[in-house]
Amino acid sequence: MKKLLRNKFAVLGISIIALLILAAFFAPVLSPYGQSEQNLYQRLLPPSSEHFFGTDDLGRDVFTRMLFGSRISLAVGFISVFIILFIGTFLGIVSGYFGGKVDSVIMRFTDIILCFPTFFLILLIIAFLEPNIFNVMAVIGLTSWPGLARLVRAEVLSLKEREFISVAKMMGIDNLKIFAVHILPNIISPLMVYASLAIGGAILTESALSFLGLGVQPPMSSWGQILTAGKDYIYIAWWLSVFPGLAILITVLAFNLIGEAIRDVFDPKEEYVRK
Amino acid sequence: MSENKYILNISGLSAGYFINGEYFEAVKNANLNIKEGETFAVVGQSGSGKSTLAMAVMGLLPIDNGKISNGTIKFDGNKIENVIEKIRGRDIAVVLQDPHSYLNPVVKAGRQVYEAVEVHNPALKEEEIYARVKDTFIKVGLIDFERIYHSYPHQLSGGQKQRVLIAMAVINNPKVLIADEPTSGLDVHIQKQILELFLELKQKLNLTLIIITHNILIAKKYADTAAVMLNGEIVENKNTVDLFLKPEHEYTKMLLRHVKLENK
Repeated sequence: MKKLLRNKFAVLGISIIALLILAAFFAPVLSPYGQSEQNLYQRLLPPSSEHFFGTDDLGRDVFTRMLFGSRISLAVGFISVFIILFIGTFLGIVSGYFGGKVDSVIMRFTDIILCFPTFFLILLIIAFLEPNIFNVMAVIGLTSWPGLARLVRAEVLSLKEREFISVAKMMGIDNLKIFAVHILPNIISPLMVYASLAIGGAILTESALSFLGLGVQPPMSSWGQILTAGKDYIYIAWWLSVFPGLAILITVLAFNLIGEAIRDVFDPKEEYVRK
Repeated sequence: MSENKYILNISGLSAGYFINGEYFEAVKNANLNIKEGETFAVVGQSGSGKSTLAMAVMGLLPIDNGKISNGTIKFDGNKIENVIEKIRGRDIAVVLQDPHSYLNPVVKAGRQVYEAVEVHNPALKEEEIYARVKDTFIKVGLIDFERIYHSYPHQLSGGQKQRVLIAMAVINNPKVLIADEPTSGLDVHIQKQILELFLELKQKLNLTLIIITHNILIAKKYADTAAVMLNGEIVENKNTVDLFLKPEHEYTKMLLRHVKLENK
């Protein structure tokens, strides 16, 4: 952790995410307006000191809606990626490490999931289930793991042939410990990089779902929802698209910076080379 | 310790691998009896099956394509397949060739040795394990204990790494220590030190030492008994003095001739 804080990009990334989390948490305090408070006399106002990011077509304050929307985006990002990491890493390690029939079964199953275009699979499931935020998180998590499972499997396949794994086996160290002590630390960097990208991906998927009316339901707001509401007014009200777009961009970027920094920190050789 | 007690009996052992669906027998009908407390050498060129033999004893032939097709291995009178899960790393341990790749690059050296103790002694407290690691490090000549304990493998020299691996192997006081080409990948000066360390540890810890090597001179210098392997078969197996004075098999004679030529 200390090493992580010495890396200035990591500090930047962490600060942005921390700021976002705080903003999401204190949303009602930070803004004088309600999340869905309408004022039809103040429709589509440009950014001003009263409305930092302007207002939308119903006269709602965009800044306020984005504050509340960050709750949705962050929650979707974290929780669905947590599900992805859990399933993907577990299946990847088991598949790669044990090989043989276990590997075949898991990988064919992965291939089947991978065959479906993820987004349409999500659409299909959401269409059957109720479109709400929990279903969105669960469905993104449960359909997006195959890429990670394959990545982890590939890493483990090469790792398990490494000599230190055979030494661990010869010392009688059991499989669970080998996973935890010898395999996980060695795949943590690709995992983190994948996770940081996946958080961005999940936020984008949620936005797209909201755009199609299958994500977060009004009057709740999410960045994607504001963004897509803005597309109808893009020529006369640029702020409706630009601010949520920037928010998504910056968040995804921040997670990438953190991912990158974690990669450096967990790789002891990297530090050695730099000295 | 009685002179006649065998710690390891291998009888009629055949083992091999499936390569592209075809079975390749790497060890053919091997018979070995290794006495408790002796230094035993297995000599053979690469591909002669000596490492496969060691892996078969450890029960670590590759799961996907390795197979023991015949024969039995007994450790201290018990069939090895019944006890290996329990004794692997505790009563029987291995040191392998090329120390550079046998330590996990992202885990500190001390931690890896610590793991090896913890897994076999779940009841020990943290300080007790630490003390034991320290004790063993000093026994294998890693005097600069603190630094090495907290170093990543790439911060250690080849000789140090091999000593860490030896520490890991002997820390649970094994009865049998298999050293599979323990000195390849190290320079000549360190090779000698490591081999002498093995002998010293053997004395201190009452080990049965099995050295697997391609170098017949190592067998001559350090072992009490030696077996010569050729193409998966044990072609000669007797005490080292006899082996060098009265070699019977053509291959042994050839090995000795080559050694003599080199030394001239």
